[in-house]
Amino acid sequence: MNEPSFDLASMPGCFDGVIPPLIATCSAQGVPNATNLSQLHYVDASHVALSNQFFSKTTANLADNPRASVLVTDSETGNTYRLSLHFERSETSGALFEELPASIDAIAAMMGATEIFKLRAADVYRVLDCEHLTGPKIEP
Amino acid sequence: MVGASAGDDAVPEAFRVWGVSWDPDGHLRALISSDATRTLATVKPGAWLSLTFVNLMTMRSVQVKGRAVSGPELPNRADVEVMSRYRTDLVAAFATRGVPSLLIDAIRPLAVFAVTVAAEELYDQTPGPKAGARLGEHQ
Repeated sequence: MNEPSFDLASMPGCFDGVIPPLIATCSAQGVPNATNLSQLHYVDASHVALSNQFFSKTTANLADNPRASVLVTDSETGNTYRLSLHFERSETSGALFEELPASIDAIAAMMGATEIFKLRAADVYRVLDCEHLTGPKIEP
Repeated sequence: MVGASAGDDAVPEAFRVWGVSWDPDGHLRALISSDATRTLATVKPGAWLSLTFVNLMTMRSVQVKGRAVSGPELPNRADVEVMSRYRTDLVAAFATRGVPSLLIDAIRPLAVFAVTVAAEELYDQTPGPKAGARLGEHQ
């Protein structure tokens, strides 16, 4: 497999959830779905993960069509990226699964509903492409 | 506000929406960031779009799904005013979370295009057990 032409490890500000990322999926019938995320998680140079709690429509879409699109902003630079993703697997145990609840706790606390938020799975996606979007930028 | 489209190949594209308004026919006019190049290239009358609105204070979210009435259009003067108000509201909302306006301006698009959408389906998208529940038929 070719080395990816992007370096996710160099973009830590994309994985802190300061600016909520968003994910788009599409059903087999061609109907898109857009959902805000609390946080995107770095897995390795070519993979990211999302915490699956209540993504009922997103999960259903991915079962039929594994393609997804995520928009994420690096809070340190203001750069925004559109990631083209391919859903690979859901993990319900292991190191990654154990790491994700912290971000869930944060959003649950914001909503005052800590008792109803439970991690179902860590959904792992392969990053097919990373497009740097142009726009007004933070000056150093 | 955020949104999604998908071309005939069912590959989705996520994008930010920089304001919406209602036209006299009751359609939503969404101002989509011009970096949504796939959407710009593929949206046409009848194409499905998803638009999700979130209150950043409460995370209450509503998703509208509908079909485009038009292809992409250039923004008009009223759209520019909608964009300005949206930017003001977004800066205020993120300020409550400690996010500086500089960062919001960094994600502000250089340009937008407008797409008119006939809303057909409405969903509760608030994080929680009822996320994805249909809210009712559009009138």
